Parts: sequence; structure tokens; C-alpha cells
Amino acid sequence: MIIPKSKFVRLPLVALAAGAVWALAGPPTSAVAAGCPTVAEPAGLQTEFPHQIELVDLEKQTGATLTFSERPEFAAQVAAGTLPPVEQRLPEEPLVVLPYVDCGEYGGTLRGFARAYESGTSEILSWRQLNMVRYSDDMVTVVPNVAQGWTWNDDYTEVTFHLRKGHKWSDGKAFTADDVTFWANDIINNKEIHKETPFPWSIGMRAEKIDETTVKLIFDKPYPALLQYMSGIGSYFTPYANMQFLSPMHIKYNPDADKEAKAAGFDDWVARFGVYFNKWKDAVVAAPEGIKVPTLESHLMIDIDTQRRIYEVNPYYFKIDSSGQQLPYIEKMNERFVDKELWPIEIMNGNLDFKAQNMPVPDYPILKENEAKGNYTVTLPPSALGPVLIFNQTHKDPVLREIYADVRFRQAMSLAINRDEINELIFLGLSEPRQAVPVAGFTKPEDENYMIEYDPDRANALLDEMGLKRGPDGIRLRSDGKPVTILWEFSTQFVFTPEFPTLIAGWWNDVGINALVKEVTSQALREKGAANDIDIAIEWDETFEPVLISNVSPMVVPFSDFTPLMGVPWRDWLNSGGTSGEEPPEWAKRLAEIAEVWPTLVPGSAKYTELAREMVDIHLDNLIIIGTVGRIPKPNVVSNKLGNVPKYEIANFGYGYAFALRADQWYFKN
Amino acid sequence: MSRTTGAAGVVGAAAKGSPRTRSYEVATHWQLMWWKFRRHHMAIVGLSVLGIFLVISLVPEFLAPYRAHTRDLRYAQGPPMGIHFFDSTGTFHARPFVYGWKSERDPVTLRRITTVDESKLYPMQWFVKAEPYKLFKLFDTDIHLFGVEGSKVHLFGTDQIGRDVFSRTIYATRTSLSIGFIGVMIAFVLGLTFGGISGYVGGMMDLVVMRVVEFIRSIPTLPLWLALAAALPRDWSATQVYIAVTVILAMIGWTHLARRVRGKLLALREEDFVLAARLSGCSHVRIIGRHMLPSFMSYLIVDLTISFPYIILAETALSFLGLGMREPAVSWGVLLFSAQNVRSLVLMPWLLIPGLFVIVAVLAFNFVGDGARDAADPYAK
Repeated sequence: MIIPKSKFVRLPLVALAAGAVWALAGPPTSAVAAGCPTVAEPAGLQTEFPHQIELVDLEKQTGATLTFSERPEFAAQVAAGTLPPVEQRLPEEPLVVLPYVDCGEYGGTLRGFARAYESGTSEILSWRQLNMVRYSDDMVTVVPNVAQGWTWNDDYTEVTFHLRKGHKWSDGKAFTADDVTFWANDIINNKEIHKETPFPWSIGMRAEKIDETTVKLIFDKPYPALLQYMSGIGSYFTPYANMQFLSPMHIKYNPDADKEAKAAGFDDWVARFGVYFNKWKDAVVAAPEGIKVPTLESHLMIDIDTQRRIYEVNPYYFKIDSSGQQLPYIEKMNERFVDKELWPIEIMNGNLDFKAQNMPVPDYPILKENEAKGNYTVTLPPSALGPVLIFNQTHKDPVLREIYADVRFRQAMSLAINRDEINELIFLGLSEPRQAVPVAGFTKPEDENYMIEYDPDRANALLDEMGLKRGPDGIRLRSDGKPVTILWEFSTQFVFTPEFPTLIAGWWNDVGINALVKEVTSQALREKGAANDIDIAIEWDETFEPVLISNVSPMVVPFSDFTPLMGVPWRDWLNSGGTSGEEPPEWAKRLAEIAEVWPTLVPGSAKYTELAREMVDIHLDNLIIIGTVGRIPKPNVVSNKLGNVPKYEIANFGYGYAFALRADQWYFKN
Repeated sequence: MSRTTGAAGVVGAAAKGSPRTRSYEVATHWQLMWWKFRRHHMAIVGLSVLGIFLVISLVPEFLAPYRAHTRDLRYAQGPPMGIHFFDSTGTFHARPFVYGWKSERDPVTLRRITTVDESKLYPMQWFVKAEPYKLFKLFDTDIHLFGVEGSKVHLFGTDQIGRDVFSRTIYATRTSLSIGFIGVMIAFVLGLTFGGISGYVGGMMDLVVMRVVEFIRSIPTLPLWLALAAALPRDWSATQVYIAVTVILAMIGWTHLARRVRGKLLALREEDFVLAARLSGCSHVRIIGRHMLPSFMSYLIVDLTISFPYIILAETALSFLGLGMREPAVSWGVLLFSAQNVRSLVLMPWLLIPGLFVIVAVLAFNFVGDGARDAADPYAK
């Protein structure tokens, strides 16, 4: 593990040297003679973690002191004394980043777009995320980020993070262990702000300051997947908060906070605090209020209105490239809010530099045809998207419940779906027909292929065996003589296109099951799901190992934590210890048992794999979730002017989309 | 006012009394209207178009070569097929034919591309046997107006999942026109009846009807729709829900017309010719139906012909509440909805063809309305 060492002796020298270079040569704009090891040409540099190195290790290997260079935009301000020089703005141990291809040039405005400022369509928000640690672009290796290093205790109940000495917020004030303890003890564990402790901290967590740059998170139960959580889905939720800025709004630090909040027009102090601090960054740091909150991110938001969001470089960003240039290279970002239907036109006209999030697959042909016109390259990185269907086995109608709870029915419904046609007609032949098992190291190809073949004969045989005889119009009859009718309410958000349920309903009709397909809003669907009032629950993300590690809920009752749910009465029974709801079947109880233990195991350990296997087997034996097609790629558009953008290995929400591509080292080629 | 000058015109025409105008003098009101209407050429064209639409609405199963949900997987996302008389060698064929085709995916852009195979010709056939259906829900048959044997014909191409756009448009015509008709007629009859009573009787009756109208109009529409979305049975199909919504909207919509009819009648009530009719001992029904209504029929016709296109175009507007027409229902609105994006415009522009039907229908209604408005006042020059 990396332990930070004080470097205060070296610093004045570097400052002097940098100042000298400055005076003689003017503002340097590109890699200096010291060389520039990159991912493509590491020049013999050995790094402990891929693509990055701590300054002390770099200097040990090169045998020379790295000279930091000033950004040209800041030269005037530094000369005027309104901004400290670069070596004072950087932490004593800045993180050295190896650019992918070359050390870039400063400047340029990156153009992006989102649907609106609170939507989940903004990659600029996704790649600005900064957590203690992050995934390297192999999406497996956890590497230091804000934290310089970490130490676990033996039973994974305590983790100590070592912060960077001299790390500063964008207003120049120090970022310290207090910002972490404030976040953990006064925000996450504050019962007024969070009536229920948010996931995953609900396992019981508190923070303890050791010194200014050392802080310990202590858990009630082992939480070895913490770093995977922070690197993946947790990258959206920073585990620190600006104490200097936020504490005057907190009742614990300011007894008048409630009075002040009310005077400012808020209901209470919690409401005002919530506006400036929110776990989901879309909602606040991206909204106008966010301008005022200092950040550690590469870019600061300087302006926002209903049309666009503008970001400018953060002079205190803590990373440098291997030649000593402070990152990021790109000076500004302009993210316009554009109606999604117009995205293809904007892209084809070359009005965009990068887009990956929320891009529909069927748009790929028109984007590809217009590549030259718009001077961009569109690729198809794989993702882990794919709609899955979950029959509600706790349906309110007792006859339907009996049918849906019969595994033969679910098997028949799976066999009656022609996945190749779905793939061909809706997903350009790019997806993979697969059963709904996690995209994970512990699943095998035969799991993915279980009962995915189109076999209406076998489906009919299974339904006949269940005693569902066909009526005069070909539709099978239930035990009470009524035709079997599935009321399939869907929302386009979950199924990509209304043709998807229409196709499936057609095949089900062929085997004698009538499915009434009906579009409703996502909100209505969620409400119906929560009220146990749906026939089919739909998920649009496949369960994906990095996400599953920190959130096992897609595999246990009620098979989701957000979208339509299945088995709400079972969930109530499990949560209440059997006093309310309905008793679930044995397999559901076993899944709940596993879900208690599994997240406390070290990912990849023998016990972890064994329990994961058991979960997969329970799922396949009962075919609780019917998969359709998966690994649907997501078109990714990158301007040809952008340098250092690596090939996208996988595009997924669970990885924060473009987060792993290290946008802070992209630059505009001249 | 053209109505009163029209009445004066009768006197003038009768005074001349030449043999040429004898039929004109003895003709009934409706005959006069028809003669006048016939002179409006565009109106005749419009009426013919509506007649065609009526036929389409009656027997779409017969006219469409395929059912609305039949998929032709091999020709999915395929463009409209041309009907040819001359083959690639220039030889004339008395029986028109379509070419064979091959559909494949472009390896680079992944776009589905259909190439015509000019070596294979499939002649068009009349009255082919294909998918069975029940004509008028009574007679089992499998005869379709046209088709080809050994292959498929897609006059307007196919959609994303291979459904024939021509057949779907035919079926959609029935849905859209019949629902529009129901909605407009309910509002029209209610508006006319209540507005008529209110305006003609006046007094206490007027007071009560107008307060009811105000009450209905004060109901906020959005909460009403939300309540409907919750109240309508969930197992109704999108089409059933939409019919219900149309009816309910008509129940509210009649108030506009009722107010205008009332206002008109209040004014007409005081006219000399009404007074004359009353003094001659005409019944109230006769006074309203015979003397007052015809004198502002042109207004009613305009109202009718404007409401029709409105209801056709409003079809998909309610879908955000789950009340409008959406897939898998088949209507003009649904067909156009799937064409409302850049992708369809670039890759499958033929999905816009149903839009032509909407335009033609709206224009036809307007022309007929135009002609009927002129004709409604047969004495006006």
C-alpha cells in the first residue's frame, strides 16, 4: 500500500525552477523536454497501477525532479498575484497520469449534450465523478484517485484512506479528513437528512479522523466490496463533502441554521442543506445552485440556464501528466440541452465532440453513414443492457398467480420467444440472445443459453401438461374457464421500443396465451409494481457483476430496488420476519439468506463464487427472470479532433459510462 | 346577412316565372342544396374521396392484402415495391408484376438494404386466397382484393418489424375515421339539442342549461384525464380506451357548440320570418327545424368539418397519460407516431405515407364542408 511521504523540502526548489522557466520561455504549451511517458510508449516506466503513478515513484525511476508547468490561461492571473502558481495549487503529491498517446495541448471547448439538467443523459456529469478510488480502464483493477492509498484491517470492517497533503478545493481551501468525517457522521448518519440511511451505508458506517490526511471508515459488518462500489456505481456519490461550505447550513454547527433557512424561503434547514448537498449529482451540483459549491473535479460549472451548462477548468485539480503539465487539457466544456429526437441531426452536422450515454442502437446506421460529414467516429462498445421479463408470482388474481408460479409456464413463455428475430429486427443483429443470468465471472455459457431457443412445440407441450386446454379461438383456458390473459403494461423506457412487447405478445399468442400489451408511463408502472399490481415486471439492465457486488437486489425478492417489482408480499414477509405479507417459497427464502452473507465476502473468493453459483442455479431452476437479448451495444460518438480517447471496452451505468476513459487527459489536436 | 337576402331572393326568382326556372321554383330545399353543391367541383372530389374512405372502412380485410399484424420477416424495413408493366428488357406485360428482392444488412453501416432481383417477376393477381378473415364479422372468407402468388407485395413498404404499411394504413383508416365520427357526432347532437332548447325556449330553461354548460366547462381537463386513466378498466385495449375517451371528451366538448347555437338562436328568434312562422301557427319543432336551423346551417357545417380533422390529429396527444392510441393499436396517429424521428425519416421515409392519408382526409372534409356551406344557403348568389 502506498503511504504518503512529506515532500516539503523539494517544493520551494521546484517552484523556483518553474518560475525561471516561466520568465525565460513564456507559458509552455506542450510537453517539456523532460519527456512524456505514455500508455503507448511508457519509456521503461514501471507503474504499480495501470496508466498512473505517484510523483515520488516517478521521480525515483527517472532520477530527476519533475517540473510543473503553468496553464497559459492562468499566466496573467498568476503574474497579477490573484491566483497562486501551479506548484502551490497542486497537492504536494499530485497524481501523475500517463496519457494514452501523447501529452496534450491546452485549450479548446468540448461540446456535449444532454436532454435536460436533471436527466441521466449527461456524460459530462458522469466523467467528472471523483471518488476515493476508481477503476482502471480494464474495469477490474481498483486504482488510487482522490485517496493516495488505502489499508484494510484483517476482517474488512475498517478501511483507512490516505488523502493527499495540500489537496485543495476549487476555492483554494484545504481538503482534509474533516470533509470525510463531516460527510459520514453528520450527513449520511444524520437522521434528519436521511430518515433511512442510504444504500450501501445502511450496513452501519462511521468515519474517524486519524490526522489531517488520514481517515478511517468503520463498518458494523465486513464490507470488502467497498472499493468496487466506490469505483463502479458508487462513483456517482462522493464520500466526502465540503465542510467549510456546508457546515454553516447544518444545525449541528450553526444553531441558527433552521432560522436562516426559513428566512431564505426553505421549509427547514434540511431542505436548504439538501439543495446544496445531494447524493445524486445530477440534481444539485449540475443545477444553478451547484455553481457555488466548491469541488475537487477537473472542471467547475460556471454558468447554467435552460439551454446549456458551461464548465471551466478547475485551477486546483490534483492531477498532472507525466511531463508535469497540470490536467485537464481541455479548457471549457459546453453541454447543450437538446431534445433526444434531434441528437442524430446534431451529431451528423458535427455539433458534438463526445456522446455515449443514452444513445439508441437503431440510430447507428445513420450515424455511421454520416461519419465523414460530421468529422466523428462512431463505434459500438458492448454494454450490459437487455430487457428481461419477470412474471409476478404473487399476482392478486389467484388463478393467474397459480399459472405464473408454475415453472412450466415460465419455461414455455421463454421457449415461445424468438430471440433471433428480436435481435435482427430491433437491435440490428448486434445483441446476443441470452437467458437472464448476470454478466459475471461466475456464469457459464450454458447458463446464458438455458431455454433461449425458439421452440413453440415444446412450449405448447409444457402448457398442455399444465392442463391449459385451448378454447375455441385458440386461446388457452384457465381452470375457471376464462381465457388466459396477461395484462402486460409496459413503458418504452424499459423495453426500448413498443415493437418489443408487440413482437413477444404475438409469439405468445401463437402458443395460445393472450397478452394484452398496453403502454403506460414509467411512473405509473413503478407505482403499480410497488402495489403488487402488475403481471410482468420489466428490467432493462442486465445484472452485471461489478454492480451486483455492491447491490445484490436484482437477484433477490423483489428483484429490483427501483423499477417494477415482483413478490412484494414476499418481501414484506421477509422484512417483517414473518409477521406480515405472505410466506415465500423455499427458493426465495434461500436467496434472501444468500443475499445477507454474499455482500460481506471478498469478491472472487471461493465462498463468494460458491454462493453466487447457488444464486444462479436457483434462478435458472425456477426461471424467475426470463431473459431476451442482452449485451446490446451502445453507439459511442467521438470527434476526430479529440486526442487520447481510448477504445471503449464496455459502456455501462455501473461503470459510470465514460468515467474510465479518463476524460481529464483528452485534448484537442491542432 | 346572407340568410335574409336569400329569403328575399326567393321572392325575386319566383317573380320572374320563366319556364327555365320552373324546376328551380318547385324544387325542395334539399334539391336546391344538392344542385348547388354539385357545382362546387372540389366538394364533389372531396365527397368522392370520403366515399372511398367509407368503403375502405367497411371492408379493410378485403382490400388489404395482409392483416395489420402479419409480419414479413424477410422484407422487414423494406421500401415500397414498384408495380411494373415493363420488365428490365423492355417487354410489356399486360398483367402488372412486382420484382423479386433480396434483403441483407450492410456490413459497415448495418443498415438493412433491399436489392431488387430483376430476374424474378411475380405477376399481380386479383382476388387471391390468403389469410382467412370474417367479412362484416359474419362471413368466413379468405379472398383478398389483390396480391401476388409465391411472394409478397408491399405497396407502401414495411415497417421496423416487417408489417405491411399499406395493409396497416387500410386498417388504420377504419379506426381513425370511425372513432372521429363517433366523437364528432356525439358532440354535434348534444350541442345542437341543448343549445337549441336553451336558445329557443329561453327563460328558466336557458338559465338551467347555461349553468350546466358552465359547470361542465369549469371541470379542469388534466385531472379529469388522470381520473379517467385510473377509472377505465385496465384490461381494455388501447382502442377501447380511446373510444371511451373520445366519447367522454365529446360529452365535454358539446358545450362550445351549444353556446354558439344558443347565441345564434337567440338572435334569430327575433327575426321577422320567425315571427311570421309563429303567427302562421307553425309548431316549435317546425320553426326550429324548418326555419331557423337552415339559416345557420353553414355555420354548423364549418364547425363539423373543423372538428373532424382535430379529432383525427389529437389521437396520439393523449398517449402520455396512457389514454391515447398507441402500439399495438392500428390508427393513422399510431402509424405516424412511429415515423416521428430522424431515424425513420432517413432510413424508412415510406413510414410517412399514412400521413398523406391524413392530409387527404382533412382536405376532403374541408372541401366538402366548403361546398356544403355554400350549398346550405342555396338562394345566395
